[in-house]
Amino acid sequence: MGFLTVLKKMRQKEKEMRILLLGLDNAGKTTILKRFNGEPIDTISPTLGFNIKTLEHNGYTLNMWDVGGQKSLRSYWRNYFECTDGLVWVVDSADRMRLETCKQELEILLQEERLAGATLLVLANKQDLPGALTANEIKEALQLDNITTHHWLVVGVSAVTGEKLLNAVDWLIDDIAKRIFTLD
Amino acid sequence: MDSPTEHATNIEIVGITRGSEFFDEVIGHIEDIVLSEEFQQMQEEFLEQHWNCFETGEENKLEYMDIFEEYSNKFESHIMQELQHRMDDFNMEKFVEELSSYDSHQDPYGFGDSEIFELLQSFSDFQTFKDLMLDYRSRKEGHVPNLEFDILITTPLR
Repeated sequence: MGFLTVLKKMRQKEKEMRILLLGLDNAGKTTILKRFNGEPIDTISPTLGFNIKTLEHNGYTLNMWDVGGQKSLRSYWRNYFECTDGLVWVVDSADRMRLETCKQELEILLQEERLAGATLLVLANKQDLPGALTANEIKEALQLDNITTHHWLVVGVSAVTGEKLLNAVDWLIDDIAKRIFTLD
Repeated sequence: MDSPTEHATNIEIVGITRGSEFFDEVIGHIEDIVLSEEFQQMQEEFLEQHWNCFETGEENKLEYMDIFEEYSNKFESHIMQELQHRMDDFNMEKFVEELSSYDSHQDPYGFGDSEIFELLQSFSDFQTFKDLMLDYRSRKEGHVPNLEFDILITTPLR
C-alpha cells in the first residue's frame, strides 16, 4: 500500500468521486462534460488528449475525466482507470454504422479489473438528432441486459438540449454514494 | 527548580490519542526526507527534464499522464525506501489507518494545509502535479507569479 491509497482514503472522507467518460470518437463526451459544467458548447473540436473538470454537485465533489475516443487513443484509456468510481459510456445514438464497435469496446472495458467496482452509466446521446436510436434500442444493441458485473443504467440524453442529463448523473452519484460512503 | 514529583500529581491524563506518536514521527520523517538536498535535487532534475512538455491550455496532452505516472512512482518509492531506512517499525498500513481516523477539520497538526500535504498530494493528484509543472515552466520563462516581496519596478528616465 502506498500514498496513492492513503490519499484516496482521505479524499473519500471529503465526499469526492472520480468519474471517467469514455466512448467512441464523436460520441459527445466533451460536450456532455462542458454542458454539465455550464460552459459554452459551440466550439468543441475532437479531443486528442484529455480534459478534467472538478465540480460540486449535490454535496459531492466530482472529478470528471474525459479522454479522447479516436481509435489510436483507445489504448491510452487504461492509464485513467485507477480509482474510478463511475464509468460513463457515451454513445452516438445516430451512428448506427459503429454500434458493433461501440459494443465491443464497452465489453473490453467491463472486463477490466480496475473498473470492476465502478457503476456504469450509458448515455444514449444525441436524442435531438432525427434517426437517433432510443435508449431502449441502444440497450438492445449493446446487449446491456447481459451485464451482471456492474450496476448499470441507460438513459437517452441530448448534450445539446441538456435533456435528462442531470437525472442521469444524479442516478450515477446516488449509486456510487450508496456503495462507497455508507460505511461511515 | 521545584522537584518534578511535586507537580506530577497535578497532571491528570484524561485521554490521549492512541498511536499519535507514530503518526507524528512518520510526518516528521517525511518532512526531513522532502526537505533533504537529495530529494530537492531529484525533484529539480525531474522538473527540468519535463517542464517543456507542459503548456497552459485546457486540454491535456496524453504524455502528461505518462510523466505523472513516472513522477508518482519515482518519488513514492523513494519516500517509502527512506522511511523504512529511518524507522525500524515503519508500517504503511498503520500509517494509513491513522490517517483515515485523522479528522482534517480539527486538524491538530495543521497537516491538511501544510506544504508537506500538498507535496504528498502531487504524487496522487494529477491537477496538483500539473500546477507544479506549470509553475516551474513559468519560472523558467522568467515570469515570477509568487513574489514574496513587493519589488518596485521603475523605468529609467530618458
